[in-house]
Amino acid sequence: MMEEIKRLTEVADKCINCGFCESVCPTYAPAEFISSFSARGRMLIGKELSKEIAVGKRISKDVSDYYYSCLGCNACLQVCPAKINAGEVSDLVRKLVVEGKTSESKQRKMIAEMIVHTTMKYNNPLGLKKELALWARGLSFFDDSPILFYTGGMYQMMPYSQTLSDLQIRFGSFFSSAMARLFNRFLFAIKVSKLLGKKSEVDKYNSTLKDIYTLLSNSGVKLSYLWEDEPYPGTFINDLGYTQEFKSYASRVTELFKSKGIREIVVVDPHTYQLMKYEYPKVVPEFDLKVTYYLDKLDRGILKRRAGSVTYHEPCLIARGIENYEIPFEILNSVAKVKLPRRNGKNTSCCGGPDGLLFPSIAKKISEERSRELKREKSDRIVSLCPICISHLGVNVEITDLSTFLIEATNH
Amino acid sequence: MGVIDELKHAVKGHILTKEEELLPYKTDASYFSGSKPMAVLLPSDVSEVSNILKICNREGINVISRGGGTSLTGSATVLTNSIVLAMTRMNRIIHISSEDRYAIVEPGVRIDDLNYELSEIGFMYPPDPGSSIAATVGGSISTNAGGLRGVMYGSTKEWVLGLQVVLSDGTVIETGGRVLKRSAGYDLTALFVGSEGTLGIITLATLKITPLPERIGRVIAFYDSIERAGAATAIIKKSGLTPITAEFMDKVSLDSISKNMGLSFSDSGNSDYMLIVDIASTDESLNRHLEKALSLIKGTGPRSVRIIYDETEIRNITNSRKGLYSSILSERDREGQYAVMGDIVVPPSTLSNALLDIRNLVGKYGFKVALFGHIGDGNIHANIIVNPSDAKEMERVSALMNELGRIALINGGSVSAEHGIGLEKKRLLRMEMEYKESSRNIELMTSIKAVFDKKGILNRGKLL
Ligand SMILES: Cc1cc2nc3c(=O)[nH]c(=O)nc-3n(C[C@H](O)[C@H](O)[C@H](O)COP(=O)(O)OP(=O)(O)OC[C@H]3O[C@@H](n4cnc5c(N)ncnc54)[C@H](O)[C@@H]3O)c2cc1C
Ligand code: SF4
Ligand code: SF4
Repeated sequence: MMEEIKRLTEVADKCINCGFCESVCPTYAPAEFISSFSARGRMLIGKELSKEIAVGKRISKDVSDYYYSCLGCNACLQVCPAKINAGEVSDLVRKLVVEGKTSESKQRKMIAEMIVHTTMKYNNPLGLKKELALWARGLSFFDDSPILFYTGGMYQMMPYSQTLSDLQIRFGSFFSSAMARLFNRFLFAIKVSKLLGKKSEVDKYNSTLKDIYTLLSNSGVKLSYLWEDEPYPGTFINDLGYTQEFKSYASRVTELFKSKGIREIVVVDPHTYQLMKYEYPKVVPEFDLKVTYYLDKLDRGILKRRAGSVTYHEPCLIARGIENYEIPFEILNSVAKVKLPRRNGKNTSCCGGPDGLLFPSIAKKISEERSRELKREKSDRIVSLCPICISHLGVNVEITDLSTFLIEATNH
Repeated sequence: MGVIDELKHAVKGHILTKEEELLPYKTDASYFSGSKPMAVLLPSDVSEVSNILKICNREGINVISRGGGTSLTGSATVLTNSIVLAMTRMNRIIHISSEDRYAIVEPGVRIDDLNYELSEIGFMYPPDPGSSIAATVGGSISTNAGGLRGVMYGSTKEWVLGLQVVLSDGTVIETGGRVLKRSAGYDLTALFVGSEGTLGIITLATLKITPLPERIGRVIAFYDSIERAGAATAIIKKSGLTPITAEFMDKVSLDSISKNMGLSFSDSGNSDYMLIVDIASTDESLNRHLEKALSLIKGTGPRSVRIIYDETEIRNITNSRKGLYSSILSERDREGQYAVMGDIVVPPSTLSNALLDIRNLVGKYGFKVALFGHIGDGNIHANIIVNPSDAKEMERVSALMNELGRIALINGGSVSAEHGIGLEKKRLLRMEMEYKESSRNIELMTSIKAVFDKKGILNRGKLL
């Protein structure tokens, strides 16, 4: 804990209050231009908190919403003259909240605990199991291969979490707290969530996974798969600041992989990649599995250039999270004419997705704004490669997963 | 109904009163720490602003308007018994006319956002402070902001055609308008430019716009002598050529760029000063103009000079100049340090002398100081790394600023080029007027303030 406070002080002390970060922080305008819901506010409040906690005070004010609403998108870091990151401050404060150093919103706490609790118990935040492997029915894998096709359940969960956040917007806080209470106290209520996935949406995401599988299989990669035993990577637990729980969960997942003889994990979404590649090694001392993004395994020889233009929504984790990961853009650029939206590359905009469950109305407005920007390019198609981006932007704009776009390119 | 409730009603609920919500509004990018406001109001239109001012005028509550909160002089810093009027919700671009060359925008529009929209139709709004990503139209008008393109386009005052302003008693007035010419009495528009929210609240601005240049090329030069570097821009201007930007950096700046951004120059020969001159021209004449600039600069005796054609090198230099402030900040080596920014201007023909005097002055104080600036219009910045909470250090900074201001005045310039007065330069403003034997100007300004704001509720304690 001392380490977190020390780091918080060190970061916040460098802030010169220039406000550059506020102008690019995606949560600022959707939260009605309240500075505390922007990078600058998070940094300045963090500075104040660090001072108070350092002298042993427990913060009675509830500042937790400012930090839980941070998307971790790192847009602020890109423009900060002092090269500090309000996203990191949010991470640190979330940890302090979980440790009980500051008070927090009851309703949000319930949802957060529900997510952590369910994941710890079911290896999946929504309690999905059978639903995870439906997409792979009829496909063949190489059971003995040490290279694992690892979906992390991210694509499969999208239809369910989208419906949950829609319901939250419609029924407001009553729904979320009631739901959270239900989940926590009566775990059988998990079944409720399973009924929430719309069939058409379930089919859409399952078909994307099939496209990724096909690309790899056509590239000659031999993969194993864990079917219903596939665990969730634990992204939420980490993001919500539950350090201890994440540590034990990540160890469990790693052990499971090892027990199955896995040496390399091929991941299909940027969130899982970021977590496995950079966070797992920090908390699992013996973590020695190779983590690969599926595009790195692709045989580019199978792709052909296609007609028409495409606007690329680059996910924050690809542009800013994974150092210099330009492969998706390179591949896309090699098969089509790419038009970039105003905010692109290192300055790309978050889709709002990470706020979907806890702050659905902020998430919705971010998605609407970004969708407007993407449509403005008037391309034939809009493409991205993160299930959360696809799900959130997909409400406002027609958006295709890169894998599907590439499959079409192989068939041209 | 209590005043806060009344204000809440006036702004349809968009009011912040919780301590933790108020905290980020205490101060701006200056080193002043500020006080917590009584409330922050986030109006969405002119009628809300008018209603708020009626209430505050009646109650004698100080109103601090705030745009991006990027002021470096404390002009948006909160003093006691104040409310903050945060203008960022009023951020619509109402209309752009490329035929009549104007844009009508709300005050909360950020300068970069406006320029993005304009660039889509081949136009621009030239004032471009280094803070343009966050600075708003309202805030930059109120500080008469300058920027990198000032040498060709001047500062904000040249680009404001008209304003809608809410006066302290809630009255709404329009000044100027959509035309380039107007000979109709006192120029009230000009009066509001640079007034730092002390005369009224800007709720709409009609801005002049201009086509983007067809091509821009660059010449860079390295000097061992500050006087020679200082002479170059005046000589270029005298020849009839007007650069679109002309920037200057000293060795502290260059070293911090090379350390923090990895940019170094093989031809710099460890020189102490760098000059960057950008020429805007047409496709046909760009090369001719660049060659002319090159030969003029050669005549000033640099260690080396060259035209840059390589796009990547041009981009890298631009990024490092833009990131200079950031690089300098990385030089902080103690907790609580800030970069206090000196901002003076002299006629370019006097730069040689002025820069030499400034370099000697800075050496005398022994602070870590980076000298750089928009040298094309004679604007020099001195970034001093200090700890604002160290009273002794700040006393010496204040003495340094005084002497810096005096150098500007002796050379026929001003103590404030583009950052305004705020809290920081009130004393220097008086010094300037005294120097010009025009202390009457302060009396005139005080009288003007009283006419516009009888009760003194608009950004009390700033500027004057
Ligand atoms: C890193 C950095 C670089 C900078 N570079 C430059 C530069 O190159 N050139 C330059 O000129 N400046 C520069 N500045 C200073 C500053 O950014 C500018 O003065 C800017 O124009 C202020 O705009 P703002 O919207 O942030 O205004 P704020 O800081 O919010 O306010 C400034 C003043 O304007 C008033 N104001 C704001 N909105 C209104 C309104 N609607 N009606 C009436 N009054 C209002 C405020 O009360 C205050 O007095 C820099 C600042 C930083 C932090
Ligand atoms: S990480 Fe993103 S959401 Fe969080 S403070 Fe930075 S810009 Fe805002
Ligand atoms: S951009 Fe960096 S220095 Fe500026 S206010 Fe944000 S965190 Fe502070």
